[in-house]
Amino acid sequence: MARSFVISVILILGAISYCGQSCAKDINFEASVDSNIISIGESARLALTFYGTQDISVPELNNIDGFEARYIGPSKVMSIVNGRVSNSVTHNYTLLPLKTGDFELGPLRFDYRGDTYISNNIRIKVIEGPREKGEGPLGTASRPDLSSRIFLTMSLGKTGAYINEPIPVTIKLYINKLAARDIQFPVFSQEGFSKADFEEPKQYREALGGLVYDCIEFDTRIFGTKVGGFKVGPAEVTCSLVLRRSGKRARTPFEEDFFGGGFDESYFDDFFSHYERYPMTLKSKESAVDIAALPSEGAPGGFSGSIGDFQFVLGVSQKDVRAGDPITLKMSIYGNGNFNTISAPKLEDAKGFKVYDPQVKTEDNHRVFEQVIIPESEDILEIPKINFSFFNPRTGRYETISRGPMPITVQKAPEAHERPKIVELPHRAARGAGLERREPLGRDIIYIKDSIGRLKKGGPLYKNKGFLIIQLVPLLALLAVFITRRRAERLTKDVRYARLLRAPKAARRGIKKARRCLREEKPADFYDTIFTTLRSYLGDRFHLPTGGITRNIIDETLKAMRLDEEALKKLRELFDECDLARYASSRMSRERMNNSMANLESVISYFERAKL
Amino acid sequence: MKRPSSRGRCPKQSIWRVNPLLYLIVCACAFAATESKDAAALFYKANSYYESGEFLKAIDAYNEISRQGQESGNLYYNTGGAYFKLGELGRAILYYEKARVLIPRDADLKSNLEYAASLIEEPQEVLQRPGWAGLLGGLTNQFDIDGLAVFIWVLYLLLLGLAAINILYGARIKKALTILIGAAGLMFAASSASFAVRVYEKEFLRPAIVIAKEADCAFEPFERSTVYFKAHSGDKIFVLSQKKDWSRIRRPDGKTAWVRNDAIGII
Repeated sequence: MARSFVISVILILGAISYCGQSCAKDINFEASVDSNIISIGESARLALTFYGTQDISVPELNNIDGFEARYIGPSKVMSIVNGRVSNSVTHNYTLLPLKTGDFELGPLRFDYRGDTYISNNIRIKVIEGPREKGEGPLGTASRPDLSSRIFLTMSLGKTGAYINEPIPVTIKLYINKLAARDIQFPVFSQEGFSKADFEEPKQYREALGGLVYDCIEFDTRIFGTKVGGFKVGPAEVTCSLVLRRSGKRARTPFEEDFFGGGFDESYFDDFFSHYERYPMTLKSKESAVDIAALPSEGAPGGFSGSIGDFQFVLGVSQKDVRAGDPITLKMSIYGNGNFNTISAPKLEDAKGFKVYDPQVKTEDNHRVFEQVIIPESEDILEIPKINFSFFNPRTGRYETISRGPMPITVQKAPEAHERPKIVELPHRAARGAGLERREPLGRDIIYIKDSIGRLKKGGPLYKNKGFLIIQLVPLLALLAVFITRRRAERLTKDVRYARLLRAPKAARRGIKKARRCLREEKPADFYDTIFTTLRSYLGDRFHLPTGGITRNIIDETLKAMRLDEEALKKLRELFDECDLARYASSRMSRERMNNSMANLESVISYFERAKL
Repeated sequence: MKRPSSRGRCPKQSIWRVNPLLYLIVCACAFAATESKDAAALFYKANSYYESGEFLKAIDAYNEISRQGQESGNLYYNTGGAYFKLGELGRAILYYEKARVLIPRDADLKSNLEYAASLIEEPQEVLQRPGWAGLLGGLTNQFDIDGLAVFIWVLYLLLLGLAAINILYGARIKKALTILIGAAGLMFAASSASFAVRVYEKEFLRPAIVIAKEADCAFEPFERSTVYFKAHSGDKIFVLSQKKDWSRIRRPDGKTAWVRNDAIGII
């Protein structure tokens, strides 16, 4: 036993080693593409297949002229034909054409475990893609590669600026007849600058070099934080190109959607086409900008770094106060500039006032400071001058805007027993000023109601019989829905049941028609109707093929059911009468017809009552 | 040109003949409107007594409306106010509680009831319900009992509607239906449970308020019986049963005793 096991193991190992040797010798390397002609905006599937093995790592494809390759994944095949085992592995890539022209891929070489494998050549023709209706030669001539179909630009509003001066940055993504998805906000190198958030992107169309592009514009502002020459960018945007796998049709799928190319028979091509997303990163060129320091001469005393072209508006909450009452100064700065650098305008001389820290609120193009000041004595006659200094980069000079002095009337502070006057203050300022309101409040019941409201008579609703009975209605409706649905389902699924239900209705119709024929004394029609009715009824009632029902059915099928012999006799007579009428309808008297009519009704009535 | 009616009568005349039901409805509405008008007149009269400080007369007028078999949240609210002004705290709380059954979300009522309760000299201990029951009670107490019944009815219709959709189109929208039916079913079950508790309290426990300033609660229903505890004006109790002039009551803490009927008022 042990001996035979050892021999088996040796044989298996030998077989494996033989297979391994033979694989190394018999590996074939083949490259193929699913289409030799593709257009810009499409992609092709490149397959590198190694026959005779499944143990080949992923070949790296770098620097293929005119293409960018992206690895998709492997697929393995193993087959046994006439006892012979063959296997292969295919590494699949997506080829994205970068420019038009005729290209030759290969022969591709691949070194693996000391062996070199060489593939066949592949020729691929990259075309520009079909022209759109009405498109001129300029359009086709000026779009030779992908980089002219989708690209990114970055531009700065200024090439030179002062430190902290806002510099507008505009980044534009141009797309021509391609479908781009998952577009991310741009990122760019900004060493030496601080950056504001991007505004909401704008979308519009722009003509460039004779072509119309879909343009997405991203706007932001940067502020120089160091003096010197700096480079900004390159900006980078990541997105995914949606590409159609190359096939019969050489159009991108979104041409119709975006550019109104019309609707044609190629709709069905689109329907059966395959699309894939190709992630890509677009880069713009970089831009240079020089940042200069603010001039050291002429800076006013109150200057605290504000840069821009501003206006200053001052508002005062009240001008007639008592000593100790708060006054709120509302100082609004409007204009263009770096609002982050703006600090609150300063009182030239705050003597005689208690001054609290201002509260700041910044909006799109203005910043508001609310500051509480409290005159300490009735001797104060005015709010002193308030200065706001800033550097104006437009003029290249420091500027100061002054508001005030503003005359006010300050009365004597109230005596201790007098109630202090409370004005509405910003919460924090009021708390700081120690003016929280504390007063004893009286309490009593709230006054009576003026109207009687909704009058109610009788007991609660749950004791109302009508209300309780009405609950049954929706329940019964649901039951009806359920029964109807079950019946409809059974009628669809159970043909026998459906025919059984149909049988008496059809028979009633037949009897009605036969009576009419009897009244009109049309024996041929009468017996024809009787025959049709009988055949249809018996077929539906006993789930038999209607076409094959004749007199014989009585002996073949119905007799075995142990039915009433009298009924079967009548049925036989009916079939006989029908046969006779078919050949000699003139012999059928009124009396015979009446008899047949009675027999038909009697037979159908019997079958309806009989438990089968 | 007008086309004559088929029986040759003026259409206006024939309406009542053809639609006796309509006639009955109109009559019923007219009667209800007259009743409501009388009640409103009485209510305004009572309010004028209240405004002139004649609180006893105001209470008589308010009670006259109640005696006519009509009630409203505002009526009880005003009655409670009049009793409060007379210093009858127990009765004031009783009427405010009656009002709360009908207008549970009224902010004025809440405030008055809270204030009146705060004036009780020996306030009763309030037993808190367990977490989920308290939360459920808090939510459903926002409805009056009829409002809650209608809410449950709407949920019931919704559930049946969803069940019908499930029968007809269930295979196509199974997931969405399951979520909807689950949510509606949960709400229905929770509301129904709360409703059942409310009905049980109303029908079997019968909440009441002590209106006497101080009431002896005895072990047995007769005068010389030993006093178990004393109930105070404004205390909330439940009436378990009644025997002649006595009521068997239960306090929220579970203690039961007998008290004279005239010392309490049933909400």
